[in-house]
Amino acid sequence: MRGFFTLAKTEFKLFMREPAAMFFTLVFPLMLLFVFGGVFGNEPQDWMDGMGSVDVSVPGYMGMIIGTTAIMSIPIVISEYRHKGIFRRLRATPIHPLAIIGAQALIYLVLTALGFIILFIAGKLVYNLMTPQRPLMLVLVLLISFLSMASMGFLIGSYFKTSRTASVVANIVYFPQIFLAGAAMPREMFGDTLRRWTEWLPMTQVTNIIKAAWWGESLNLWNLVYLVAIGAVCMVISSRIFRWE
Amino acid sequence: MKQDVAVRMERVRREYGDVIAVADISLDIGYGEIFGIIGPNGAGKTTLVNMICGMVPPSAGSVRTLGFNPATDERKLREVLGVQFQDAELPGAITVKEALELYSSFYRNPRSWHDLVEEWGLQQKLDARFEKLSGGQKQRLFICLSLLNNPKLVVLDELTTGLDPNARRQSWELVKQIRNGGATVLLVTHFMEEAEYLADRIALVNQGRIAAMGTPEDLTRQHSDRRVITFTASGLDTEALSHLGTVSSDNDRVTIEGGRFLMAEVATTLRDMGIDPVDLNTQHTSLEDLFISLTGGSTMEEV
Repeated sequence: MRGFFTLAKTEFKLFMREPAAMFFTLVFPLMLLFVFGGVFGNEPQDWMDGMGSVDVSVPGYMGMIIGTTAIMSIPIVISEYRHKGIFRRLRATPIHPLAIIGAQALIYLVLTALGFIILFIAGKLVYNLMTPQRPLMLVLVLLISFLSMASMGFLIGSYFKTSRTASVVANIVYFPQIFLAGAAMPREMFGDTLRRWTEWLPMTQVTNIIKAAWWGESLNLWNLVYLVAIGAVCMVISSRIFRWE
Repeated sequence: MKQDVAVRMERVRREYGDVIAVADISLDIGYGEIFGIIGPNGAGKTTLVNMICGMVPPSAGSVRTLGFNPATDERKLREVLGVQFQDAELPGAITVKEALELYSSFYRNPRSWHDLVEEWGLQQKLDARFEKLSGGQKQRLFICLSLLNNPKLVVLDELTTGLDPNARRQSWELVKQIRNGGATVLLVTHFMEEAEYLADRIALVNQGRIAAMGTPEDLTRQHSDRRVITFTASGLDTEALSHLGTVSSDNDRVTIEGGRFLMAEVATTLRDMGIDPVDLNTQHTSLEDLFISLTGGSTMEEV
């Protein structure tokens, strides 16, 4: 594992120098929290089972953070590193190929976790955000969601040749899901038809299981199976089509 | 098996689908040599380098680099191999110092990068980001990275492409320094002048095969029977010279190509015709001429 942690540390620093990526991962969720928290507050509402507006929204924002790192950042970095020959140069050293990919996966996992923690602490301090009812389950669910989405992002980055096309595709996959899958806004606001049509989005499974674990409800097995399956399929395909250069 | 040459390629072939990048190449590169590979675009130079470094396995034939099979022992090989690729970059935001520390961390026994940056004149740039470096500084950084592990073989792929003539000259001196430090250097270039100046031996690659191989002197000597003479003469009937060689003319400027004694023959013939050319020149045959005659005029220049 020589070189792995230095690589991960360096990649982390490089991410922090990327203002747009850092903003959308760490700052934008906070902005949503304060804007909607400021407008609606977090008073318990009978029609939301005694939860407040912030309690209902924040689990979705967690899904959005996963989407930002896994579907927006990962494809861009993978395609850019291939396109510019950054992978090619790394491969000419003794570092293990899996360590090169592993370092990327690790830093985006860490960044995702950092996004969660910042958002949770801010929500707790400012709006007395509801404490997760099943914390361990929540951690597990977040991890599964990240891995599943990350392998989807990895597939996009492997398939599209340049970082420009990869980032266009990432946008097409990311933005509709953020708004339609209960991440940036709760699906509870949708009409029946829209709800039915957005039931199938991968991000919907993510927000469903995060909410269930957070609120102490039982998890829908279908959501989990869907995520694990899509993660596995994307992983298998991208491991076949992935090229270093 | 201990091997007395740094690189040995035997009947190597590499195809990509229907495209034959390398058709059939055998060569030995001795320890301590600067070995130049030259050839036009698409000649198979990069594929050759990729096989020597273990980035791509050969479709047929065998490659040994520093005693290793690069296709199967690639990580052991890369402990003792240094490379600079023409088409590789670093992340734009990484600083020179971070890049040096990062690449040092990949090797078992890296040398101190402090000496390297001093030697290669990058000590003022340690905190500069890669994207802010000039072309020459980037090249020097890549060379530092390629030397971090005290490599026994250094592969320099199009080292000076994109550099201004001054920076190119500087790089040449640095390449000599690398060899004087004890490493074998494989220099891939499309600048004939560069190969001629630096390389102990040159392989001229064309269409996936070696068209000619030897020292620069050997290669030019092979073509040393060829003479080219140019002069200006008005109203000359060029037909009268055609028995001496190949004649072409542009307005009054006449060029004639032929064999040995062309100079004397042309001078005699012109005197007999009563023509006194004031600006008669002979051109040296160079590696460039050899290259053009061997590759059938494929262009050397790339952008």
